[in-house]
Amino acid sequence: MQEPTFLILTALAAGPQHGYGIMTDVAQISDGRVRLRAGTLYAALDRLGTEGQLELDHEEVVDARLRRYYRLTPAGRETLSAETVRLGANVTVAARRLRLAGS
Amino acid sequence: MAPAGLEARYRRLLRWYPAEHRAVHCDEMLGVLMSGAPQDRDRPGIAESANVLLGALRIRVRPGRALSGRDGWRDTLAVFSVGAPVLAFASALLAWPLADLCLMLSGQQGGLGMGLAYFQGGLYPYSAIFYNVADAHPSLGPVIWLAVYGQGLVALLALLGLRRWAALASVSYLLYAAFFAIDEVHYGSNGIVAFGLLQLPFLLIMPILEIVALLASDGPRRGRSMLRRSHWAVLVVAGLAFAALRVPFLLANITGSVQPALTSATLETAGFLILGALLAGCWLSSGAGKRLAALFALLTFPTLVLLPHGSGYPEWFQPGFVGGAVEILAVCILLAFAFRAVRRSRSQHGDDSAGLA
Repeated sequence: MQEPTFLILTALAAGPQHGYGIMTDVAQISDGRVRLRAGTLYAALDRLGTEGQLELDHEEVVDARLRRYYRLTPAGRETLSAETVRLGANVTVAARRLRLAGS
Repeated sequence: MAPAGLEARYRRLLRWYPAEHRAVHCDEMLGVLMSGAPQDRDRPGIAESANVLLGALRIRVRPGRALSGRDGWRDTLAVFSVGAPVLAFASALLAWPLADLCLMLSGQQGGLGMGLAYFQGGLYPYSAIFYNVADAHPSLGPVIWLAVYGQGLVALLALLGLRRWAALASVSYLLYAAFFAIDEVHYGSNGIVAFGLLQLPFLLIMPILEIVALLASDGPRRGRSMLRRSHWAVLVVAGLAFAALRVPFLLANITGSVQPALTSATLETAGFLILGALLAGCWLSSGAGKRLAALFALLTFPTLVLLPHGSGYPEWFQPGFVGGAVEILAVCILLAFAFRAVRRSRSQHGDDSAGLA
């Protein structure tokens, strides 16, 4: 899984968010390292929607503009969970080896 | 410049997205773009513009794309049921004068039927007829008329949304072409090509697929509702282009040019046909569009398996070897597709689905 995808799923893990909310949340989660642009975000949302990882939660109109909120599907939550475990395992191995090399 | 200028520019960029994506996400994306734009900005930055365009490209080329809606084989077949006969008829209309022209240029007196016989392939099932009777009957007016305009009749009935009549016309047309084709299998009278039994489905692939599409889908009326003017334009232009692309092969064959030139023209033509169908599919940019491209590509497949019958081709390329195996495999795939489409049609009856791009 690519990092932007992981971060988008992570942003939605806490609850439904609209497009701009996801962008700002991703920047916050990654400590400003990853800044999604609209083109990247909506291509990812389209793909994740097609794959059944996320779905539309609700819509609202703010300042005469449509806001669409997305939420994780159970499949999306499962994917994020599996990826988190995988990354966690890698991190554990990497940290252990770094400690061994340092000692 | 006022923010309205920025918004107009963003809207212009968003036009690069597929229509179905724009219908759902345009306002939403515009809101996100405007929210993220600096206050004093009056035009999108280069990086932002490139990112929006790249996003559009990613969405357009993604296989099986579509955030909402469903467009299965039933819709694909519905579009094919009305689009394919129009494409074939447009192609046949141009093939007719082209065949005449090529014969005239080559100074040969083979007659119009003989010229048209060289237009073999999936879009030209009537070539089977001409191979058989061209030599025997100098005046082929009624035969040609029935063969070429038989496709036109199917196209007309499909355009009118008369599914059963179109299917009946297709079955009649299939029987008409099959009669001559089967006769050819037995007698091989023309001396140019002796068809094998396995080639039959390929000679007649157009009416066979048309019948499957008419019966397994929701019908040509549904297909017509999914096609826009631009789609029709692509179909007609593709049909005309298919006919025009056969000219090098036609000329090489009529004038008896050396085989390398013939092989080159043949492969080039087949490549163009397949590429054209695939490009059309990408242009349609939806699941149904891609499946449609696969079906149209199937129509061009006979060009690949029938043309190597000429002398001078390597033996391994002849139908008795690799060709035969490929043909059997292709027939199995075709039958599997037809079976699956009919089964799905029955099990999913009542579903509605999204249109093309």
